Amino acid sequence: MTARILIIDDDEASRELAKYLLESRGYSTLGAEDGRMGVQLTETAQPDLILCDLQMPVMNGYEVVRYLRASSLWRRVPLIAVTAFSMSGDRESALKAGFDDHVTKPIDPETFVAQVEAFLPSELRVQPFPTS
Amino acid sequence: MTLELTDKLWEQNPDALIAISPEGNILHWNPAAEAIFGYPQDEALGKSILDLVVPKDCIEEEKQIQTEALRRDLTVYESVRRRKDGTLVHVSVSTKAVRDAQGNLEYFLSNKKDVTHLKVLRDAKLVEARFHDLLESTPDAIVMVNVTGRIVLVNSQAEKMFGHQRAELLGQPVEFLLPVRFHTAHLAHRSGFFEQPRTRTMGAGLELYGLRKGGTEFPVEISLSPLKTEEGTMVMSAIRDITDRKKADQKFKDLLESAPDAMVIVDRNGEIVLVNSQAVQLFGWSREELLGQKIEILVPERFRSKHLGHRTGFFEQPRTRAMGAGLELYGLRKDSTEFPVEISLSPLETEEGLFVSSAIRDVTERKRIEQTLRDKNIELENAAMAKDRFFASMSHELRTPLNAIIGFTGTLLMQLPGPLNAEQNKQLLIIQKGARHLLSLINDMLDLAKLGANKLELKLETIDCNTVLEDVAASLQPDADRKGLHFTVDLPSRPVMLRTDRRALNQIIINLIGNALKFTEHGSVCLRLEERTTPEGKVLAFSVEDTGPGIAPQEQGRLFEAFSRVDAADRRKLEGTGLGLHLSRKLAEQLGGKITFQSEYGVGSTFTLELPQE
Repeated sequence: MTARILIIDDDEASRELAKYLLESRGYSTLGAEDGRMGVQLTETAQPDLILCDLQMPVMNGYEVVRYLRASSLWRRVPLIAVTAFSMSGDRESALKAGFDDHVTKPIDPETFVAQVEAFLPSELRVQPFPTS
Repeated sequence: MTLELTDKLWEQNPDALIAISPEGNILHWNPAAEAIFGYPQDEALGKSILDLVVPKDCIEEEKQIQTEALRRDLTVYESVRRRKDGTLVHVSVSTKAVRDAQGNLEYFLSNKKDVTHLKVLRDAKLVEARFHDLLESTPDAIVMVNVTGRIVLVNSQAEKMFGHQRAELLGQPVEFLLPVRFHTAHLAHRSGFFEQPRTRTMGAGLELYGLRKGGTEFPVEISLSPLKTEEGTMVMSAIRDITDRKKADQKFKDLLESAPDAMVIVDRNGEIVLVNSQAVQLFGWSREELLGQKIEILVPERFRSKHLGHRTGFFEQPRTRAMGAGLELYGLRKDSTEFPVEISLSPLETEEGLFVSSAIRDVTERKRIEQTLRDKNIELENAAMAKDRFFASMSHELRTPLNAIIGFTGTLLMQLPGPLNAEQNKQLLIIQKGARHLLSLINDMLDLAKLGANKLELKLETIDCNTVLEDVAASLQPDADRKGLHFTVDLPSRPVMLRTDRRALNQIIINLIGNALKFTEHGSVCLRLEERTTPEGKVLAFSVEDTGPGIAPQEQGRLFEAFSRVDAADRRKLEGTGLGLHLSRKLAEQLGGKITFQSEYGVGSTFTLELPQE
């Protein structure tokens, strides 16, 4: 059983990139283009990990994390902020708001998947190929 | 006695001969009557004698004379009568009741002799005897006049002041001592005074002048006192020559006029006694309108009652000070408009008592400038906030598309979609390099923008510089190895502690070593840390020495300018953003230090960051 990962991002190209990298590794993904859709998908599809942009229309990343952390079901789901905000203090405020990690765009495609996997329990990780 | 002679006697009689009907109307009026009283015959005939020449307070007396004459047929009396010009004349009156054959009253015949001069002589003798010694001992000039306005006494101070001998003055109307232009008004005032005699100052608020023998005028101050005697009421005037005081006043006024502020001087009653032209201009009232008014006329209605209290308080404890410290004060113009003012008050001790001088400054313009500055500040703060938001958005918007570019270039190079041929791989590497360069540019630009807006927050902490430098060196060692450069690090043997911002220090050192590695093709790069003593005190010197091409002298001047990369002809060698040194220098300044360099063209360069040790 490998993890199902929800990608919430209003930038389609960013969504595509994360989806491609994660699916190439063997994970299944879901996409949501704003915070509200992300929250609804969380309720219906029950993802194992959520990647979430911060600046989005309708419902932004901070509202998403506040909503999910307030619910007993989703209080512990791994939530990683993936954002193009990189001003000083952005990482601190994201962690303070309840995100487990903060990854700055542009992401490094060579290390991104490993960064995300670190927040998955081992039984949900894609097992390394025996050869690698 | 012929009729002709009778007529002649009538005509030529030196005294006024007046026939009065039993009803009191004038029947006959001889030329001497005209001379004494000023009325020609045609004006006098038919008029009531009481209306024509008898002063109000003598009417009863005149009636008595007639009653007396009826009873005794003849009375002799001395009294005062009025001339056509309003002046009084002393007369000796003999009145006879003339009756017809049946003994009925036909008319009164009144003989009036002008005894003004005789009276003066008598009065003079009286007051002279009584008051001479007293009046000689006063410092003021004294002129005493009787009810007809004739001078009956002068003291020697008056002789000296007016330049006339006593004999020249006695018997003269007092107007003799006044400039001609005041004569008419003075006559009126004089009779007014005799009607209600009381001690007072003459002509309050008016400028009074005396006339000296020879025609020169001089400013005077006069106080009047009535003096009742058995010869009637006299008036004593004490006259003071105020030429000197006027001069002093004038100097004072000149001084007021030269003040930059509006000046208003008030007396103990809060009445305005002096203003300068600046005050006239500021408040819109004329000088004449202001003088004598309460100062509150210049204060807006809502402050008036309070002002009154403060004013009284000030007179109790007068000292120079600003009015209403910390309060907003307003002045009121004649046209009811208000304006903000600043006022300073000073007590003014004079011979005439305590006054308060207030200097009033219209601060409309200053208030306007202050308001503009406040508005400007808010505007700037808003602009700064807008700028912050702009930086944040710019960063976000530029990084977002780069995410896709760098990300998918990466997936292709990782060959996740499938294998690449050599040319595809090479071109993708070029895209990746370009994209990464663009990312550095964005990062540096943002740092610079933050520095420019003073938004860079330094996080000061005590760090061991050796550790920082070792970490930086370790991270850059692979770059040196790739180019085959000899990279050495020369650090003190013991820890070097410094309170500074770790990130900024890191950034500067990485930039300096990065530049050295970038431009040096052969040889070595050396990072060194030393403690030095400079004229400014003890410093830590972080230096990076290379064996690169050096910097041409003509390039050295603008080395630290943004986008001033040297050796621009050799474009293919260009890497970096062109902002590195510019940013490093700014960061060094933020840390209280500086970056200097030495370079020999073709031999190498040494860049040194100096940071003060506390």
